[in-house]
Amino acid sequence: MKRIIIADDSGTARMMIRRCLEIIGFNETIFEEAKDGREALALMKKNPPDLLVSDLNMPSMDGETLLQWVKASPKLVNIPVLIISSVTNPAKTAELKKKGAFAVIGKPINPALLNEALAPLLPE
Amino acid sequence: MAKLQKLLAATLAKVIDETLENMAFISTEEVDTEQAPLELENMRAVCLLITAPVVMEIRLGMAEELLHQIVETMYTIDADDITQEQIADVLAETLNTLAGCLMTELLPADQAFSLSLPEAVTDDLSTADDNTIFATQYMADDLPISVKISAAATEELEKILKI
Repeated sequence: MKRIIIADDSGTARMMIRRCLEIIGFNETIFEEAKDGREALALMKKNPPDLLVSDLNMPSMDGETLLQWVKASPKLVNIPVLIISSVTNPAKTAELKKKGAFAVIGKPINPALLNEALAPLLPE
Repeated sequence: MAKLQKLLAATLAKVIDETLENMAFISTEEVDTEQAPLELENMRAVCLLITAPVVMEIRLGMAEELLHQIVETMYTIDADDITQEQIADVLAETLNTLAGCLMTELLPADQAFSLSLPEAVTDDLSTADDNTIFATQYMADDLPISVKISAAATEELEKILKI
């Protein structure tokens, strides 16, 4: 069974992301939720997931720092990181992809957007 | 300033409609506030700073009843089970999404921007102050939404937007 960690300081955003992921095929998946980058990192260190979905603007540790930490960590570097944030435009997207993000999508999200972004990772 | 206000009006009307439609299947309609401003009672408000490339503040007010409807739709729960935390979180996430969409639409593609985290506020939404550069109201399901944008100055923004 796949494991996905969703990091966002908004419970509403976490719920929406989870629902969209279930709709596009991640229905037999274990979801774990984190309110900020630190919580997400602690969950990842304990048990590395198959996918990390993270917001950018979060208290304590933001999504960009979390992404950099993951990509610098030999144990976590291969985990794909999907960034979902309201602060995305072509300039920011290019910067985040350069830092190792698998894909970057802007809020508000919908299943079609997630499906397109995660097509190579979708369960068969 | 008039050109900036016209641009803000058009862009905001588009992004607020798209945001609420996408989040909760709710359509919005702009209100002519000069003709008939809405009574902003029983509202909840939240504010957020745009911290780069220019400093601005956006305040969003939404009727409590509308927020209840949105939470009910999004969480698919009974009205009795709605918590104050869910109401506050939906309002904050709506503003966060709205501000991001607004800046993405307004700014050139190569211009990065940053936002602060949303904060709940309890001020009077119906009054503009010296720093208010744009204020408007919308209706969604016959319930009011208010948006106010403030800035210390607009020259820098107008320069970036080339207006």
